[in-house]
Amino acid sequence: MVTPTKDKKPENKPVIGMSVKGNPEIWDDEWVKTTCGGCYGQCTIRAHRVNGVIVKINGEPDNDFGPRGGICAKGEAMIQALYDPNRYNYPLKRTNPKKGLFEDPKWERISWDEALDEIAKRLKKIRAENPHKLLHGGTPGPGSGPDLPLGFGVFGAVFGTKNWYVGGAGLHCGSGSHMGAGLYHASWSIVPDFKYCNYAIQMGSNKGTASGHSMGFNMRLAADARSRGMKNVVFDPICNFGGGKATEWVPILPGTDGLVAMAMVNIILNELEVYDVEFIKMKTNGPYLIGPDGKYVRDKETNKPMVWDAKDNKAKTFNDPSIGDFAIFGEYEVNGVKCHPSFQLIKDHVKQYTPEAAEKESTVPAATVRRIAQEWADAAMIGATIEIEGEKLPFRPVSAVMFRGGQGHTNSAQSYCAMCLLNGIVGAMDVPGGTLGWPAYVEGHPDTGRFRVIPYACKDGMLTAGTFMEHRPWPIEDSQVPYTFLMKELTPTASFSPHPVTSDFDKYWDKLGRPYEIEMAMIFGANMIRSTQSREIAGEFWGKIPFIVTFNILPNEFCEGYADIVLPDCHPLEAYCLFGTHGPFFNHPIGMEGWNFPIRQPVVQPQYERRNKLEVLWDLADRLDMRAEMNNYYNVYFTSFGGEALIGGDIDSIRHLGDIDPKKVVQLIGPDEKITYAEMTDRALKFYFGDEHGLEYVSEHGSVNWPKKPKEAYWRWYVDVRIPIYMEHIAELREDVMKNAEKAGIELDWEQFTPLISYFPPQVGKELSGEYDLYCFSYRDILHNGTYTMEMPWLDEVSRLNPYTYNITMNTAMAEKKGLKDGDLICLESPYGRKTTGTLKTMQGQHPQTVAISACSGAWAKGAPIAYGKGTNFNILLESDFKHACPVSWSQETAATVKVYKIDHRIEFDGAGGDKL
Amino acid sequence: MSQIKPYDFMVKYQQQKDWIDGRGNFIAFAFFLGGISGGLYLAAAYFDSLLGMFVAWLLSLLMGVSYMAHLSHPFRSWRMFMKPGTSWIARGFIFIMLFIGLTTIQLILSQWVPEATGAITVLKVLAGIFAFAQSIYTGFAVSYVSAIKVWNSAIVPILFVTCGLSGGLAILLAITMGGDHAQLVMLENVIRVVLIALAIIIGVYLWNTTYSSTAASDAVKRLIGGSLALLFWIGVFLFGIAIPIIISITSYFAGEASSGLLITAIVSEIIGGLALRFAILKAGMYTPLLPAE
Amino acid sequence: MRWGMAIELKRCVGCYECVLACKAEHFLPPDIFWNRVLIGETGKYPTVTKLIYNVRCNQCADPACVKVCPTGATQQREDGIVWVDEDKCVGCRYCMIACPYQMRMMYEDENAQYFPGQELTEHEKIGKELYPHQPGVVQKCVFCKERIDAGIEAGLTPGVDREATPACVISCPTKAIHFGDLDDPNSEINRIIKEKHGHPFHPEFDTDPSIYYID
Repeated sequence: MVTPTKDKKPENKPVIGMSVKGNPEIWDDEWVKTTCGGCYGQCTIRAHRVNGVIVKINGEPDNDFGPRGGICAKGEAMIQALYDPNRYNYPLKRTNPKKGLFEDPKWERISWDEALDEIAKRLKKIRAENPHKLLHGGTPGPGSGPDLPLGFGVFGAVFGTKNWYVGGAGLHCGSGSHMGAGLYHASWSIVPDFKYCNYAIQMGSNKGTASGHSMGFNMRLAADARSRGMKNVVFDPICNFGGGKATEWVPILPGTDGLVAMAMVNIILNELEVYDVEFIKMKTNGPYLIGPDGKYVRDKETNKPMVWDAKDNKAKTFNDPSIGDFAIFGEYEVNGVKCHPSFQLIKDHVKQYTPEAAEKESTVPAATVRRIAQEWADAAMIGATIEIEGEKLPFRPVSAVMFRGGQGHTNSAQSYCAMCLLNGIVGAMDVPGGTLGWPAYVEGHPDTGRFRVIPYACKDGMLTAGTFMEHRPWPIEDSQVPYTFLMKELTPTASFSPHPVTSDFDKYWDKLGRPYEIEMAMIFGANMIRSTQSREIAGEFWGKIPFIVTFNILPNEFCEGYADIVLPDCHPLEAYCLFGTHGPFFNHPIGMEGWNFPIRQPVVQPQYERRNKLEVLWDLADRLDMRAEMNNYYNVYFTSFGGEALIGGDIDSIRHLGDIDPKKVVQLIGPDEKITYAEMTDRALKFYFGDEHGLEYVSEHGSVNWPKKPKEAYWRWYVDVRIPIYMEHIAELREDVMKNAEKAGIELDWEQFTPLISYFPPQVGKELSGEYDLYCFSYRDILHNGTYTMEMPWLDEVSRLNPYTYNITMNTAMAEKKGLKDGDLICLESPYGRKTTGTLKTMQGQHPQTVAISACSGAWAKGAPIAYGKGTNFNILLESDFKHACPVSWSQETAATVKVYKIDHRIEFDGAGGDKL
Repeated sequence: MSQIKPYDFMVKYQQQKDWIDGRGNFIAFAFFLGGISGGLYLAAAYFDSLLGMFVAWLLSLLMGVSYMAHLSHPFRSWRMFMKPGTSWIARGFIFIMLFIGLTTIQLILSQWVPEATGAITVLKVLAGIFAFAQSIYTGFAVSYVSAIKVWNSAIVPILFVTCGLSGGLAILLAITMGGDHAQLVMLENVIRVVLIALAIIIGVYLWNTTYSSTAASDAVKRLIGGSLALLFWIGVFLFGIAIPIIISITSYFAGEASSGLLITAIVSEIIGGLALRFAILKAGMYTPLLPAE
Repeated sequence: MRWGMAIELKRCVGCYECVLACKAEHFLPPDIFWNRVLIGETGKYPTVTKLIYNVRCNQCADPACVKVCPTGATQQREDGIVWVDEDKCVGCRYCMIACPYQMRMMYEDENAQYFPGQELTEHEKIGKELYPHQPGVVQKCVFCKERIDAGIEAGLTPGVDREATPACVISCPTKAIHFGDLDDPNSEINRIIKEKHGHPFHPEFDTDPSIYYID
């Protein structure tokens, strides 16, 4: 793309589509199609460049990857991040040897060569000794992402380290939900099929109102659904985003969503007895026979799980073509043991979850649970079908979804699976109207058949994702004695780990004999101090690492307090990005929305010495003689979407490169080639979508689009796969995990390793006492993402115009009871003595036993003057250890118990060095 | 109340700021000056006090200055003649200009050509009309604003005129002090009547307004018992009505008041008149756009 | 011809993009808003309804601001759009006082910048060329009249073609705002208002707004 200059004026075009006063000279007036980098959503946008300056962002109206012409405020405000005078423009080196929360780094400008030589020197040494001594990590901030499968984490993985730490993940997103969505939908997350759904239940989720993932198209589709009259029941402690757009807001105590879901399952199975028998028989492991040990009864010859054929009255392997009718009830004797179909066990097991019991813990009235269960079961229309584009499909217009709020507790995995069970028993999974995963099934571009991913059945006939990220939800890997700093290999069901940024990590590492130490960290984009649980615990960990390199566009608490070298990254409006998402299962539009493959491209050229971090990583790879390995990884990755070299996911696939037949890998990049990002993008696009759809085409059109088939949108009955509503694998895993954990001295809540989906009270509830009598939680604000959005003046302005964004909220009556009123400066203190402060705003729409803080505010970085001191940093209150993590998914406990009292100043800013607050 | 939280903008009851905060203060002064200038001219014309009429002319000029000080583009003020058809500010501007113009000629004639009685009388009548107009328009400018319920009352112009008249009379009293005794007594009698009328009008206004709308009754509550109570009871009631009336009634029974007492009454009344404009302007509240909690 | 809007409250989630779309479109200085999102709640726990209202100048057919303006700076076009001729405004603020919706603002501090004490951003600098604002005069939403005028001249239809439609309307991610000609009985916007029972915000203000809300 050629940027016009003043002396190379294009022919006179009338100025339309912009507000102009008078007759200013306009020598450059271009709308460039690209993607937004404001959040994970990666909506397609058009950026308007006038006289070399980006003046406006519009949503892209011509494809489905976003709000079709609309955009959110964060996306618009990205202009201000681009032009922020505080941006990092040159490589910087820390001259203050001291590191700490409030330390001034005393940056000194250095050259790129100086920076990269220094980094490469250290990396070389580490790679020779033990690559695991490098910790790499990050979450996509603006400009630092995502490029998920190409940059984000890949460099470190090729380098050979398994220490990949995603800052604040599990805190902001959902370890339990990624595990569960992977297991049940072969996808990263789930969304109601807004187009056809008539009754949606949201548990601690802001789908369509503020969520980051798939935010754009969700907002659009959810609005259509509300306008159409979809019933939307939102269980949430606060009536702000999700609750605020509900047709019925049901206040609930944090961490008890799973119990309400279980109570509804109980009512549906045991009181109403309306469930989708065919779905349970054909699409779940409901018919699989479970022995007295809680595990499958397996065929002695083939080791396949057995089912009972009610027609022939005998046991058969689950996929025996002769089965006449799968029994889902009763007691049988097979292989000399008494056994039951797992569905029978589930149905009996859930009887304990009465709505009355649920009311006690959750405060949701039993009558409400009963009514909603009844309404939901009625709305499910079990047996109904619908015709879409000539295909007759099951029609189940009900959907339950949960995200971070509902499952961000120590019962994360079980609570999320409980919600999935609700969808499963009525067959509302990946069928019209039901709960849809982000597209897990794509047959490929019509011209080439590439960009093809199909879910399939493997071990025990269970659903297996065609591609995934990080870990494979199925088949479950074996448990191992921890050998990484993340220790996640101990529990392979976990998506993300809070370790090593925990207060108990050293205890376990000591017990393991401290096999090695982290000598260097490379962090992309994330704010590892403000956006992770407990800045004290985090500060202690990062402070000990001898050398830290970060890529970022804007100063933040982590860069200032702990980084030794900062490399200036490009802003999304200055950069190429081939993979805005991770693959179709991550963030692509759902249902019959079209297939779109958009790319990001620079709208303006990067100024100063900012560089695209991927090309920087390649420079480093050159210095380490690692470029050929990187190129090979890319070849494998690109080839995998298309079926030949089918691999699990980006980082995972690097680790399994040896398993891949090199003959199936297309050489898009020669081992010795040193190509630019643009060149790689061009080759990948041509490979996927044909020669005519290279970079030139996509630069002009923004994306490659093709229609989706009903079979792809609603794939569930087109693929012969089942889902584990009975989580036998967890029972199977338990013994190994226990054995391996013992070696590290790790104690987990072993009870949660149960195959029968159950409710376990969250840790936060256990810490409630007379003194610490309120639950405190944080939730996503529609105006903010991560921490960097706080530094954008427009967002700051409207945040101040919002009653909740910068304030701590409490129920009006509860505040009154505590002698507090609007505008009071209050302190929240946890039982562990952690304190944070802020301004109180009371509201009716909040559970009386809760205190809430939105977004991730309370900045103290010196280089972020707009964000400084605004709002309240919730994360300060959190603990970080195994006690406060879900044993199965390792999700963090994202709520804390607190006591609330008035205070005279903002103590968490004492020593921050900025204005006294 | 003017310090509402940004997120309460038009979500909660909200005081108008544009005609009270910062430069907005000059509007209150201008309205006050317009009122007393008009009142003084009418009284002075009636009692044929050349000095009174001259002071009224000065006060009107001051009103103009105060007005200019309020504008962010005073050099464009000539444009304010453009829309007398619908705008009370435009009308007022014209009234002020005409009043000043007519009074200027009348004063010149009265001072240097006193024999031109015919012309002077005509000018006096014309100037008197615009004196009245200049006084009452300040009330109309306010009462025209239907958005602010406490202002949107037909009583406001009467209130402003009466208040201006009482202030004008007080100034005339000061000018006349030490002069013609009979005139002084007569003036005092008129003042008593006007003061009592003012007290009644204020009472009726508040009473009437209380029942007109929630926003208005809320404003009245703030005036008599809320954040504006001090301004209202001390400024408007004590200075504007109570002290002058007490002194005036005492002097009626005593037959003669000391000049010290009279000066107290005069100053007190002027303070009261100013306080009334501030009180009414500050009481201006907008109705929230969202349903109240 | 009378331009109007219909805002579907059910669709709006309160994301503030309409506010920022306007700020970017018109390079509005800090603390100046031509439209706003008002947020509140009604009811008592646990029966609570969150309220989100996107508000801007209602471009009233019977506008109080036009009447009170002493100079004629505030004026109404044939197509109903109420705007302020910056060169004629004296800054008496009568229009700000008179608007019952409080949708007018005075731009006072011409030195205000988005990053106080630092350099002006390139976006702010180019804004001073493309859409300069005069200090000391009253500002308000003008329904993006420049977009409408240039669009019509280019043969486009406001409300249908993006380029000729106000910035907030086309930027809304939930498509909550519709735009069109209220005088045309067959227009899409009239159909929506009729079908979905649109009503003006606070009709008791008696100014005949051109913006309709749909509950």
